[in-house]
Amino acid sequence: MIAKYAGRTAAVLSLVAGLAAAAGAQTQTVNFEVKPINQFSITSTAVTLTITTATAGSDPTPVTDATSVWAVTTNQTNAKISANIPTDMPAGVTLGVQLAAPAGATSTAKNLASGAAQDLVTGLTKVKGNALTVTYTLSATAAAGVIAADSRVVTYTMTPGT
Amino acid sequence: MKSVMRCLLTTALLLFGSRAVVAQTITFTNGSGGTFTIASAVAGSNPTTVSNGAGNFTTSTKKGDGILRIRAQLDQAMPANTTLTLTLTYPAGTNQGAQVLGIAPVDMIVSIPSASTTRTGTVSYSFAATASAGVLAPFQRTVTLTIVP
Repeated sequence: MIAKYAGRTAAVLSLVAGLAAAAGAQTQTVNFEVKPINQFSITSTAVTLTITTATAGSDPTPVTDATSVWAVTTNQTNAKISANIPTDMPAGVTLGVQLAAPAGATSTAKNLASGAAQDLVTGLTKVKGNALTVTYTLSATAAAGVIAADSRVVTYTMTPGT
Repeated sequence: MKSVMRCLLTTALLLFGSRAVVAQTITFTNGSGGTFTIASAVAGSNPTTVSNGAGNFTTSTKKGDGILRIRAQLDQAMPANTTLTLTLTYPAGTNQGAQVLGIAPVDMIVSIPSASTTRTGTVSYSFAATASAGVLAPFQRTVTLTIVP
């Protein structure tokens, strides 16, 4: 008898508890999306490189500048950064550049030229990097002679991944 | 005799149950909390968080309900490297501030005093994702608010 009533009582209590819980709760639906994002920036606007010395018997001593930094954010896979210059460097002169890579990406030093952009950083995958060093190197052979002040605008391009 | 006892017991339970059912309620004014789309970043930083108000909610309580609290939870976990943060405003109790939501209930407002009244609060969400989260196709989560003793 007790068991019989206990069973019924439990069933009713369970129903009541369910109703009570439903009365004190309310739901709201929230929608989300994350779109592809590829952003990069380079801080400095101008760098000056001047070759003035040499070791006797060698080509003039290359000069480097590592005062610039760059930053990147991508939430895609295998994005890359490449660069080129609008016109080739004078004969016997090369302008090299290397970008420090954020975690997981690969950096390759390249001499810049006009035409097809050179890949500098590849494998940028779901990563952010900040204050990454940009290193420019200017080299000249003795055959290049004396060259008056000149400039090149380096154009960097970020290619989204997938 | 049995019938009388059964009737009395049922009546007592229904009365008790009725009090429980109407004790306190909570209601969103909007069924949708809105759409949150992350689509930009500052280079070197994680994607830019998006935040929005999502309307109001109302509670109805009665004197004698005891000290109440409002809790929130999701129906399922957010994707890896993303967070949904909920902020409520409410004219009573102690606000716990912005809380990251998960599948376990989290206290949003506590120490709500017992009173026979209706109160209105506001709801706002903040959706954040790291670069590691990657690209995410549209998805949704259900947020549940509960008001409990």
